[in-house]
Amino acid sequence: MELTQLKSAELKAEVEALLVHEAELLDDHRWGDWLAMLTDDFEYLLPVPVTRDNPGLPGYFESTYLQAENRATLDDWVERLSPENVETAWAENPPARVRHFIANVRPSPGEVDGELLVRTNVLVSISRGAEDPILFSSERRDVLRRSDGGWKLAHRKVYLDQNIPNWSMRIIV
Amino acid sequence: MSMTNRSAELGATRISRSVLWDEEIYEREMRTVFRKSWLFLAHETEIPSPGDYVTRQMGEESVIVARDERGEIRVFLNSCPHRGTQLCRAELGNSSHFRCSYHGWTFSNAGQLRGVPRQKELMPPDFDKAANALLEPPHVGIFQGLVFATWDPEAKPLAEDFEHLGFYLDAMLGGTDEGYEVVGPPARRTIRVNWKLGAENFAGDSYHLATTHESAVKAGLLGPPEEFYKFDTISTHVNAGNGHTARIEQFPYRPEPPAFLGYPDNIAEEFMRNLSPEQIQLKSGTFIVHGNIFPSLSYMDTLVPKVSDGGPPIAYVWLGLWQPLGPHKLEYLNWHLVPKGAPEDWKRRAHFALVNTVGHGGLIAADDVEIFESMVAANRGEVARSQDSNYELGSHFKRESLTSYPGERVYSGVSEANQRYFYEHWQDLMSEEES
Repeated sequence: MELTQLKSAELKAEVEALLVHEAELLDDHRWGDWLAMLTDDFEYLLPVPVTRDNPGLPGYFESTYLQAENRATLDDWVERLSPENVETAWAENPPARVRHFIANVRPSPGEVDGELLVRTNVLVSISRGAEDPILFSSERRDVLRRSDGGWKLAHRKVYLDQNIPNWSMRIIV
Repeated sequence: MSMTNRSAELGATRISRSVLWDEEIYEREMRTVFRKSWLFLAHETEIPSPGDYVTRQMGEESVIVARDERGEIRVFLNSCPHRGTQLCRAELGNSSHFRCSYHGWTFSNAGQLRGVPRQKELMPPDFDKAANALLEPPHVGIFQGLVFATWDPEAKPLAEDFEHLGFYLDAMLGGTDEGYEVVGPPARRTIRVNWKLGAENFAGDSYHLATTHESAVKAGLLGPPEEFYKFDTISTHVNAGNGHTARIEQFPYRPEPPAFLGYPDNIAEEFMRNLSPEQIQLKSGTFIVHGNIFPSLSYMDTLVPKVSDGGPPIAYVWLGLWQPLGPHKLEYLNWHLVPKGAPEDWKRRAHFALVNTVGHGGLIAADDVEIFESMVAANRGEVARSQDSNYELGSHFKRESLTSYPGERVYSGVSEANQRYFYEHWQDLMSEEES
């Protein structure tokens, strides 16, 4: 899909609205609604950040992950958070307050027809119990796929700006 | 200073909770435990070529682990002998030389001082370059690709330290023709935990599985939930000498011929060729072998019975280092090791299975970390710190085994035998320094 064929301002507004809506679902713990935004082959990857001596080389290791999710792992997670099971989900009960701030949304043509690549800057705050809130920034690289006149989220890779995260709970950035 | 309540008969059944909090105790650990023990640094495949290096910690010391031009693995204090500037600021790289960013002293990757800017003009004529080489720990040892070093000049050789543990490490990493390799650099995160809590848990806490990991048990991650309590009860705890431990959980049937659950066929064939009959017995029909290499490197060779892609069960070898950053904080480094000769798609499946269980927010790790952090948070006060933790579980069991596995003492059944053993060795090292 040629970007010139798209009305880019309109497209940007459409994608931005979609991502802001998604953030609301995540922040409000509306897991079922969030899962409905994903394609069946959705993957979520968090590559391991590395500090190398050669600034010309990438700052991430693409084949090793901090976190790797697909529909099945996410279904298990949502099941764990269900009212019947949440009592023993020790790490997530009581729940953290998680908030997403979405900025610098940059859609571009995807690798195949009907897909978009969207780069977004994301700031996440996590607040739990008596601890100070944790705040970290990152870049998302999403693949959106055309579906029934709208878009579904087909892939998300998150490049953390933290070299060594000071959080380890399960969230979706 | 005694921080354990210990009898010859029952072992260290009570440990003061001050060991989780006190700065003084922590400083003493740095002077004794972390100066006297072999400390894990890296897997040799992290630095496969001459010039490759990674930076790591030995206790609180920053060190460079480098492969020199002759292919030998060297360890150097990451501090310039001139004025103490940090030499390597990256966590990994490749370099024939390390050049200090302050005054430009330059060292070969074998640690020799090669260049001092304007030496002839400014340094005394008898300036001795050899006396200003990078500081190296007195001993570096490699066992099954695992690189260790120690600051103790009197340390016994690594192979001797691993006299009993070696059997388990050989079974974990020595069964293939081409050896094991890291999938990539370690995943790292900081957590608010005293380093001993992670180490003692992996040393052999079989008791916590049913409660801490109830959620994972329900999800089938530890096998069919209805089967869980059956194989939980046949676990074996090994005090493997020098504070090292192993815990073995096997399914209640012995497969014949031997079946290496979760491994690809070509690797299973290699296990049959390369392992001893006792190691084949250890690895066959096995759910998990895990433990702690004293002081702070945990390991496991485990099966994931339920994989998220719906495919067959898969196995992984994992290392977790509880790198102390003060008494209440640590950096947690996690490595995934795979047999070099395994098919690439198997390696990727294994990596996903590992990340989903012990990765960031993994179903096993998340709940462990939550519990460990709460144990630190809840014991800050003077009253709490003056209490003991109870390690009596199974202390009345006979010190005997139904198996032929090696170790100083081998126990059958759910027990805190390995935690007691961990703290006994810890206390022995701590007591070497009189207060």
